[in-house]
Amino acid sequence: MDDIKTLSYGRLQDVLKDVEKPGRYIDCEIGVSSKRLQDLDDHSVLAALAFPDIYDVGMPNLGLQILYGIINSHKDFSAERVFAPWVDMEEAMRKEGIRLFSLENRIMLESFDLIGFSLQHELLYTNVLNMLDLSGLEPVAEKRRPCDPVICAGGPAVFNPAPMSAFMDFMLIGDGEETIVPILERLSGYRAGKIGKKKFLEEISGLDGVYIPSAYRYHYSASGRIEKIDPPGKVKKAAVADLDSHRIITRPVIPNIRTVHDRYAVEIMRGCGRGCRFCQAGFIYRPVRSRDAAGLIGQCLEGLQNTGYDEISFLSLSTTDYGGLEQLIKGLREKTQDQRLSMSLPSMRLDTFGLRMAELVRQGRKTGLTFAPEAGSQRMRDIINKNITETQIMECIDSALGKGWEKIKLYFMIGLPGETGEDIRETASLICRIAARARKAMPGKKRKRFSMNVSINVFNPKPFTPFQWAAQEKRENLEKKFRIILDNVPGRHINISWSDTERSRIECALSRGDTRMGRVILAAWKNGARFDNWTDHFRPRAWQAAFKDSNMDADSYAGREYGTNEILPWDTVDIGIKKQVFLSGYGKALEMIRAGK
Amino acid sequence: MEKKLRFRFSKTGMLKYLSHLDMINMIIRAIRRAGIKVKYSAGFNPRPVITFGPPIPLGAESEAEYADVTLTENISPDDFVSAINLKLEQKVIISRAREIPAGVKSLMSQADIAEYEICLTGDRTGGRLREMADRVMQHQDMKDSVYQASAGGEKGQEEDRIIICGYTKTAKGRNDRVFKLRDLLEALERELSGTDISIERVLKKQLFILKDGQKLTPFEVLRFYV
Repeated sequence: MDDIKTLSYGRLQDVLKDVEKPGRYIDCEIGVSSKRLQDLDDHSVLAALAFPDIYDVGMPNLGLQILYGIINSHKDFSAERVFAPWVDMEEAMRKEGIRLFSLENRIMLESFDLIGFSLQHELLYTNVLNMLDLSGLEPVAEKRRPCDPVICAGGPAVFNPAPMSAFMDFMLIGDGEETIVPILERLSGYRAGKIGKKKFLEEISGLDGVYIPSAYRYHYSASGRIEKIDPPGKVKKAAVADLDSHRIITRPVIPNIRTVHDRYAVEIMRGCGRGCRFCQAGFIYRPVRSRDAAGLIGQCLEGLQNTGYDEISFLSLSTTDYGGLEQLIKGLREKTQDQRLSMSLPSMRLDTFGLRMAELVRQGRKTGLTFAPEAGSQRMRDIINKNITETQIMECIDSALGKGWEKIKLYFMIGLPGETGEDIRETASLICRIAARARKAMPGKKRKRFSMNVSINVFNPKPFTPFQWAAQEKRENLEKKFRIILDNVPGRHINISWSDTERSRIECALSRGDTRMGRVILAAWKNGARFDNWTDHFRPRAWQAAFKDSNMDADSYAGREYGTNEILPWDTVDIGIKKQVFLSGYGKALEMIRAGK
Repeated sequence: MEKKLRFRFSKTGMLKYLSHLDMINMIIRAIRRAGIKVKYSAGFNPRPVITFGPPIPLGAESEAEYADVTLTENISPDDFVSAINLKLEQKVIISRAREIPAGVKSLMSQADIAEYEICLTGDRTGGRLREMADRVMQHQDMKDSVYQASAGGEKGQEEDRIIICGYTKTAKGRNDRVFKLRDLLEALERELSGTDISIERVLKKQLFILKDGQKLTPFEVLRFYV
């Protein structure tokens, strides 16, 4: 493999001296397992795991670490990582004519056999195009040369593959653990020049989860709706049947610089059985699969020993529903008594059991607790199927604050289907009631320090949820609703943050987009859009111009209620849940809305 | 039981792009990986009891980073060194550790001087470097914070580096400025502009404690505590 192009240390130094956090662009981490350059031969398949956000955000991603481990444990495959260079680094690279390179061996991306992007949300789409361009590769798939690397993407934001299909050779829908190796095995034939790209794609097309955009044609009617998708067959999502058939990552790459979640992360359960009607993750990761707690304890100890982390985080979509939680926490606590281990439990449902678990992991060090009532009125919580009552919330607040917690964070959504001004006033009043209750429950001397953070997000109807047909509320109305909350919640002790309504509108249009959305994404990127999820970098005008120039209307994707018999852009994917199930959930919600009037 | 160790480590190559805080976290994780028991501070948010010497700026390499750690197990300094080196990336090497008696002042408050070597490349004459070093010494923003500056090189070779000792803290009647490597490098870049000489490498060589006019390393100073 002497045709691998790499970036020299000297050239890298030229750009690193003037950028912020240069530690993002070097490797030298513990846990790196890529093959050395000199150990690669003609049989080696080189895969770049590309994360379209900065190192600090991408490194804690568990999927990245899982695939990295699987690929590198194979003797003929080598995986290296690459993240989106921050804006200062991009500028320096473009000025110096340096192309995008991987961290481990500084291999130019064009020299890889496969580049796989992890798409965690839609606002990363433009970063993918930018990274391809920085690599000297054409973002548009059909313009790429036959000798170019195969480009693919996975993650929650490709469950609707349509918007990014113009840029990808294939997509991987669902769990990647068991699909990646068969794909790379077939790739070695393609790279050896034995078979063409078309043949390679044909060969992998039978694998679960492999979606090949070029195999589909979307036909649109004069009115702009999808008339027909050819062929009609659906791609079945890849799903690992038994999580325990893959050990957890016990030798992750340990970042040298601080990341957004600097701790040892362990997935204890995949999928969620709750069925909140707005929650995409709650449906696309089904069925619910748990790891065996007894087996996990040993693996966690091994991971902690290998990494030296003093904090472990148990990941799942609904940690309280994990049957072995108490056993896991107690078992691990017992075995790490003198190691000063702290544990964290994100995605806890705060009922009495949840609180007991939160207390069990905290052991004296109590900081913040997060509640997600999502909506203020019981009517609204019933509509979205968020099964929690105000009594439960209040009981939990009483108990938590009485036991020493001091900070509370609340999550709410606005713009939910059927939501009225009255519901919003109830949200505002619930925030006030929680604050008052919390202050009362706190021991007197601490009361002065009381503060509460409230995060208000715009509801985004997402594919593969019962609300996938619903319209996103108009910006003017959303702004009015924010105003109502701000006007009715006293500023003292309560900090309210909310999402940018225009960014939510773009995100929603992208997530429910069809194959024509690719033109908009391309145009927006050309207009300078990138890092759209970063408040300081989101450029609404770049997007507005892109929609206009592509003859597309963002509101006809975001602000429109999709017809329940309309062909949906994501009808090409089968996640294992029938449309009828979503329809019935949507129907129930609509019924409740009607009944309320 | 408690035992205090002082150790020296290097930070070379690419790792010069890591911040002081990143290095601290890296060392702490390596100690935990090695399974060595460290004392934790009391209080609300317990942290390992480990203190580091003065930080060096991002972009500079070092052969002389020092830290003092309090352990709760009896391990010999040599075993400590080899256990941790096994758990570290090769560009960080713990080169030495010594037990320190109780009562030794913290590195941060003890250290007086850091010695840096600034290696230059290009066509040069030793005379010019010496001149430059002198000018830097006399520069009014600089002179107050510099203890010593000279030109140096390999034995028998032309001088190709500036060696500069700067104060890491202020002291009444001695210096009222702290040496800032970044300022020096900027001044040097200005001096070098228009010449074909450029800075190749910046390396921290040693950390010193001043005792009766003598420069002692953080290890040498320990003999005064026995």
